[in-house]
Amino acid sequence: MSAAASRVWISKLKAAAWAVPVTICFNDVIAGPFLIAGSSMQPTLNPKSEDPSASDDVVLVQKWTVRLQRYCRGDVVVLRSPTEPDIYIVKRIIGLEGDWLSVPGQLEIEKIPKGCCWVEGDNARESHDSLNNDRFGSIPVALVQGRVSHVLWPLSRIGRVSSSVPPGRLLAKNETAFQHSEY
Amino acid sequence: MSTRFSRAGRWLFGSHPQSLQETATTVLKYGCLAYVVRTYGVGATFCVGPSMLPTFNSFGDIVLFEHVSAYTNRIQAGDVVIARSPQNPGNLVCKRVLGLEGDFVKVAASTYLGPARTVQVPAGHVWLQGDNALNSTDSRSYGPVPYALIEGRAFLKVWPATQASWVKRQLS
Repeated sequence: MSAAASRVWISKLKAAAWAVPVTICFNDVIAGPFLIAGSSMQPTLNPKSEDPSASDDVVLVQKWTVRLQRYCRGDVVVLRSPTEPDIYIVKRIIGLEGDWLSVPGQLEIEKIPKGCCWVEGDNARESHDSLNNDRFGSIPVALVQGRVSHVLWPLSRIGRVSSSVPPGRLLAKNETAFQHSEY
Repeated sequence: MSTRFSRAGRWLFGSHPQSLQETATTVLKYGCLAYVVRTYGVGATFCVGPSMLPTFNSFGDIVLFEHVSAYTNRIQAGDVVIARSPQNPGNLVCKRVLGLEGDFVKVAASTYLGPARTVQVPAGHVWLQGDNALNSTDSRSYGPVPYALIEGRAFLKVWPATQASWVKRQLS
């Protein structure tokens, strides 16, 4: 290869190498795809299908809302597991700091401590969350990495992921949660 | 415009006149690179607050921290770490790790934080405490902290320059 030709290649490689930090930055700050594993969010994500070869769902995860600390009750979020640091879990936020929640199977109602949230999977039987199986209770909201906003794959179910709080659980809502005030 | 600035500008943006679009692309590229280095490599931060006295002063210290040991699970008991505050997701706290998962940590009695006790750190968590036990909000009040909240390990104090030193791993 001539010197001029190799110089052209090097400049092309340099331009391509810039894609790496730009992609990482976009994925971390704005939004990125995420592969859903497991059945804890059925039927919202990875719904049961007759076809055993059905692939897992790919969703779009918004990061900028979390960076601005906009956490909403009812949103589906990706968070780092409080018990296994290397694992990402997908759950629904039921309550935020200062809320009072009724907890199925116990008489006492629960107040969520400062900086914390209460998360549950839609499929109670399969989900390890604040209430079911592991029962890790309230967890720091700082574990939340992003909000699941859309299903991207399979194409048949492409669209928004809706936000909903199970009825009758939230007894008292703290209107000033995460608005930089002491409640 | 001063010569020094324009020299830096020429290094960054090249010497020939550029369109606004080219300039914006350069700023974006280097901004993203800085973000990646700061998030996955090495970053600097101010450590503010009395909780880490005497290791860090209560105001004005600049500390370098690296993220590699956090995401390769190499944080050990005695390391000074920077973690997302479990009480306020927008804040970072700087504390010392006194115990990893499964370790037993002795908590001394105090007026506000209750009687003396021994706590076992649950799976996936760490026990964080400030070096200044008399003025620190830490695991003694909010309990063990998920390991996933650790962002980085402080390794070098660079400012004030007269006190510049490596941050040592130590357990009292």
